[in-house]
Amino acid sequence: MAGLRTRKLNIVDRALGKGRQEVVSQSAFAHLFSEFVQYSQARSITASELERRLEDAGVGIGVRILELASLRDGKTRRETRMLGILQYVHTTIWKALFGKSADALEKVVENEDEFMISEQEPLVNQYISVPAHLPNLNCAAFAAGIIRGALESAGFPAAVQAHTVAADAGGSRTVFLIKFAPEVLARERSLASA
Amino acid sequence: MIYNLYIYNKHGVCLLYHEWKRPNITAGSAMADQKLMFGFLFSLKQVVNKLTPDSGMPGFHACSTNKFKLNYYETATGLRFVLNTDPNCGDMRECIRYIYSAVFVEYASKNALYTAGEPLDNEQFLFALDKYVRSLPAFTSGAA
Amino acid sequence: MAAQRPPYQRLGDVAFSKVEKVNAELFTLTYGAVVVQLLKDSEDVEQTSIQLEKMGYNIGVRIIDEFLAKANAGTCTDFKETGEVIAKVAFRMFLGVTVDCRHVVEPNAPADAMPAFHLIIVDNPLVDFVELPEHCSTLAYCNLLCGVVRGALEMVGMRVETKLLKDTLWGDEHTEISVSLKELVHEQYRDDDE
Repeated sequence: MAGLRTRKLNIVDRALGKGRQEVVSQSAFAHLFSEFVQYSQARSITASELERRLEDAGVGIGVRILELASLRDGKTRRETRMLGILQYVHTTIWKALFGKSADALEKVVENEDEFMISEQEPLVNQYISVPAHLPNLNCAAFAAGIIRGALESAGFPAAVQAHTVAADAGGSRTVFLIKFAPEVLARERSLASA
Repeated sequence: MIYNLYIYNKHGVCLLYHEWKRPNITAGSAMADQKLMFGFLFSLKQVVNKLTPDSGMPGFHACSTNKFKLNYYETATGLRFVLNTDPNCGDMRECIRYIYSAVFVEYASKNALYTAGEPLDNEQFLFALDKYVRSLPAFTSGAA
Repeated sequence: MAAQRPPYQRLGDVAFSKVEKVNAELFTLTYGAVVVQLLKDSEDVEQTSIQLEKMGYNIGVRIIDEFLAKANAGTCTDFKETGEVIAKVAFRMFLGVTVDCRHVVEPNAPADAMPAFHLIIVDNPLVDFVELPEHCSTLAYCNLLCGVVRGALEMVGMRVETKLLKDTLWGDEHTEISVSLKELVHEQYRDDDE
């Protein structure tokens, strides 16, 4: 049947550059993501279990978007420093996915290995209202997964968590808290002293 | 003046009842009130179908008494919107269509955690609905 | 060919120009992540194809309201027209692509046979960057689209059967979906449903 057909068009024959068509409706994405949240919700008992599923799905996207974005940039040199890779994620990766840079990139003052990327209105949360029985659910875990995937495949393993925090001016924003793995920090120190 | 809004799905389940002003207080529970309204629509639609010439497309969009006006919009998917206003409000179909396209579609059909057929009680939906209805000129006009 | 685009194509262009958009790669990669997760959960290619169709169905049931509310496509007079509207307006509005609709008539079909059409998608945004590995070669990767069409039409009283006939991932020139009408469901009012 289908499997026996010959592959006329191999993936390597297809162009990987800018696709012919660059945008789809936001609604198509929202419905796809919604459906994935519902599918995952049916297979999770707690909010954190659901978030972990969303995060895991995001990781694969992070890995791929890092490759695609660096290919388009013609980037040949790998980022070796924490700040460098964070800036790359905050601007280039974010732009490639969401059409704009993330709203802010900050260092957590108390901890050397922690950084925050924050976003006023993450696309992935736009059409989600948190249900009463899962008050702590944050579907931005998906975007956290994307960040983690991109960082990991760039050689910066890290834990990334999405938090919703009340903004000073009312409303709320989503903060992605990035905590680098000990080996990353050790490398950073040796590079800094070199 | 805008009184209230009912939204039913195709099975007659009342997804939303929201009240801004109610000109009279009916006795009985909210559920009885919602069933009464749906029963009224049901019968009215049958009458409309009977009265419509064979060649025409049946469908009504409003009916009024000297005290109030019922504005009605039904989508191809069987959602039914009933917006009650004072009798001097003009054609409200555009407003209901707006509620359908900019409020229902945006905050209910696109919402991952809204299940079709459940009551529409999420905050974003209610906020957007209230904001839009209060912004209508008809909301304050004809206040007695 | 006339210089002016046919009416439904123009309607689709207008609808697409009005909707908010997102980067197509975000959509494509998210879809890929969804498929990977489904394969992981079910560990079965056949089951994954079925689940993708189901998820599509759920999306179709929801997305139809947006289509009706925003596309201004009017009322279709027959199933043939329905096919045109799906191909030229709906696919354009949500995925930014135009799709061809081919009406199929079985050679020896009786005069009252139920109508059917095929949707031919040359520029399919779901399949960018995708290659089916050997053990998944029969996966109906684009089955989501079949489900969307089925769910959406069911909501407006048309029970249809859809099938993914061809797919570029199977080595075909394009993606092709058959849509055949099974039943027109007329609204039924029951006064005493409780």
